[in-house]
Amino acid sequence: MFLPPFLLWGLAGAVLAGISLGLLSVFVTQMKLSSLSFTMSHAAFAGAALGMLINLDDLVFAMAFALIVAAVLGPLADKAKLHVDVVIGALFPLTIALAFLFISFNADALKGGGMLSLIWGSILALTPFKVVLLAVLSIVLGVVVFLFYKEFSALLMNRKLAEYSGIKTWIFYDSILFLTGAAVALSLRLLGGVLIFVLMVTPAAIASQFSYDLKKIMIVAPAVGAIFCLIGFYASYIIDWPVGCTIAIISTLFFLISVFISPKRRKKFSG
Amino acid sequence: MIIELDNVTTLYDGANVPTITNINLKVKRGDFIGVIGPNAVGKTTLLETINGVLKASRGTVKVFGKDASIDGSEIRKKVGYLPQDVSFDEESPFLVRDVVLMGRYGAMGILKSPKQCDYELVFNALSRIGIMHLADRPVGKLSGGELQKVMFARTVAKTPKVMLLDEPFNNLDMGAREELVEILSKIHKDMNLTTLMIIHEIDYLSKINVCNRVVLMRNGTIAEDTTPTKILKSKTLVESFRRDH
Repeated sequence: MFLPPFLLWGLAGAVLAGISLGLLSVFVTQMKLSSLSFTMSHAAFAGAALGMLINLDDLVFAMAFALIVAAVLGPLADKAKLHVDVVIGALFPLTIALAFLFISFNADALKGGGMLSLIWGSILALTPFKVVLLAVLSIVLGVVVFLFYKEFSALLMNRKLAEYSGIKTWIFYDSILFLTGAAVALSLRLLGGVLIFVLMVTPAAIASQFSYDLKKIMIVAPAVGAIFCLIGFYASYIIDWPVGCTIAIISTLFFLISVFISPKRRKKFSG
Repeated sequence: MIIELDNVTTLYDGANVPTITNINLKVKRGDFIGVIGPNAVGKTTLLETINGVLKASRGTVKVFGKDASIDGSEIRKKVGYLPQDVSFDEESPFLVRDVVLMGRYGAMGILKSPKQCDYELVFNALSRIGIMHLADRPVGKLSGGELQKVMFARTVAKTPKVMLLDEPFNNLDMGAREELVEILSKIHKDMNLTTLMIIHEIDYLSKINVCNRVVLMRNGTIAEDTTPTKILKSKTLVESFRRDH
């Protein structure tokens, strides 16, 4: 099945987003921050809505909003002595309120479907430049995780124990929040907020059904994210469904299947 | 001196009353100190102030000559800390050998991968504690006693200069406790360590013959800093401890 050239950029973008969000899903699930993707998506959504409102590049604004939230989360949680998830809960209403506020000022964009594409994504919104940015992000993310795997794995196991062993955990914790913000902002126009939420949880949830080894999960989750995006993209092209919806449905179906066929649920008797 | 606390007071954020107050303690190389006292007298706070996880609100804490409130993470690279009540999710994607190896990560330094010698130290520690058979088990599937031994192996594999042990006998049955005391005593000597160990039960002090000093804490202060023999001979102290307990 061959795709028209303009769709190839969309496919490349989807696969790259699947890789980076799939890798981040390991952090999000292990750090128990599934609400992070939701809040980041809405921060980027609010930024993009503001960009559209004032007729400037929505990507720049989406990126700026997501990164501001990412930069604020870690220090604010430390200052408030609360789990980041609680701070995310406190910031989420602000991001969604700003998004709706900017939308309410820009009824034209709502009628034209531009805003809707931020929720469900649009492959047409992806330019070669944005694909290059996604490729750069995937590479940066991969290199950072590879170089600091030791510190990240200790952080994911238990932040307090990592601190006791002499690792300055806040640097790695905050850098993951920051990279998540960048990944969400870059993927928003292509995949939409809903699919970002799916891809930042499901790949790791599936990978962890098959292994107790973090290294394997970190290799499998991005591959799963990329495969879902590839299959979903082709399927949406064939059956003419929105890309985001198709990938979301496929991901969730595979997650359900993985739970039922997981070797972790089997009882093994030896001897 | 390896550890020096000079008039140290530690107050938690938002608290009005300090958890430990005006603590003066000097620990020399090779000391094996039992820290005893009833619940909530600041024993854990004392250990966490020494390793710099908690910053002293007043006074100075020096470990290896470094100020713990400034160089906390550097100090922690050489300190093996066994906290109490560590737990893992049942589905936690870490094997026992990973958990033990991770204890060495801070000391290894950034951008450095574990080498053969690090893995050897891990397996030596597992074998010394007698839990080699658990090496490839998911850490979330262990019993409380097994996990306690794994955390102790993690502390040993770090090859620290100082060990801070917060109730290391938690979750262990009598047999396992005796076994661990023996291992602990041997490790302390073999590795030329300086050890501070929180013991919850004063009666246990007579059963373990490892401490050369005992620090008895009461209401956030050091009430006694003496030898185990003296503390056990003093009926008044033992009785008052039991009453507080």
